[in-house]
Amino acid sequence: MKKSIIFLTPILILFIVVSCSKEHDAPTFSKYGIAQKPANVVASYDTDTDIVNVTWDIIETTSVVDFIVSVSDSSDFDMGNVNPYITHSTDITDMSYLFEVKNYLSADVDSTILYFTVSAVYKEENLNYFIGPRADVPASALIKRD
Amino acid sequence: MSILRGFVITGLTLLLLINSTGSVLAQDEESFVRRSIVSKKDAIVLSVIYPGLGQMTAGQKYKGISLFLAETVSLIFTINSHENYRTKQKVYDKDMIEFNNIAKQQSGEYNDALEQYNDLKDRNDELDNLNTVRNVALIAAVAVYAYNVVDAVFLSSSTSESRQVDNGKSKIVVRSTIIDKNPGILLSKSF
Repeated sequence: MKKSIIFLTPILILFIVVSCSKEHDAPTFSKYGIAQKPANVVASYDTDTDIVNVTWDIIETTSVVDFIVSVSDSSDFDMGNVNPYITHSTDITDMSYLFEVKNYLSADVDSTILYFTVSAVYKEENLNYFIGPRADVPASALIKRD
Repeated sequence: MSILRGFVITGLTLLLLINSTGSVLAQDEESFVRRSIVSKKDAIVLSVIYPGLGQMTAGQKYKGISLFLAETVSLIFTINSHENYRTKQKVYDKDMIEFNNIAKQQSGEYNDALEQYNDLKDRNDELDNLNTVRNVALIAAVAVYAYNVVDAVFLSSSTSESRQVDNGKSKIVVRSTIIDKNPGILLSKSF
């Protein structure tokens, strides 16, 4: 018994010491946890002005300094031709953006569907104009020119 | 995980070898006494220098070889897994800094951060496994070493003293022995 204790004790101590000696830290995503996805993105096209009015909601606007509206010509958003537009919002609570179709589509296109999604831009101590996650469901707008 | 599996299989094989040679050695104690070429004190010193050396020189050839191999394999695994761990850790630390900088750099994107986070999480798990392999190998090496020393000091049935008597032309060796806990005296003469 005494011999077993003499044999096992140093090994047990070593096991405890060595087990606690991990030299790498696990990554943490907490600093990005503030970033939220906008919801309820709606896009409505006005034929008279050739403008799409994009609206959305976001629950928490703390640290939000701007929004990015992205437009794609594909229902599978990232598979299409994606263009981001910064809203340059002066009032963050005004969650809307007027998208001028004439700057995106040539005049000879009579009819197409465009897809819109929105991301918030964050600025705070840890985030430097960080672009947050996109809204889950892109909004579609049927463009039908006369 | 294949490294760990390999290590476990090798370790078990060596343990079986040590275990199986134990019974052979028990029957071979007399030959052990005959083959002993060093005193117990010297055997302990040799065992402290490297596991198995003391047992081998004291006549416990199979046990000595088993301990020697077990220690060598454990040390190879320890060094190899340690180097592997350190190499991967350096790359991991570099990518970790990049990941943390996404927040600081202007216009860093959430999707990039998420992708890198998931990648780092997987690699963190891999590093955890490598760390475990390294620790197990190190502990095995220490355990073999400790067993070897304890074996040399407490467990071996061995000669405690030997004295050579000059009898004119030939030498007679007188040894006080303990075989299977039975004390006795062994006289041997070389022709």
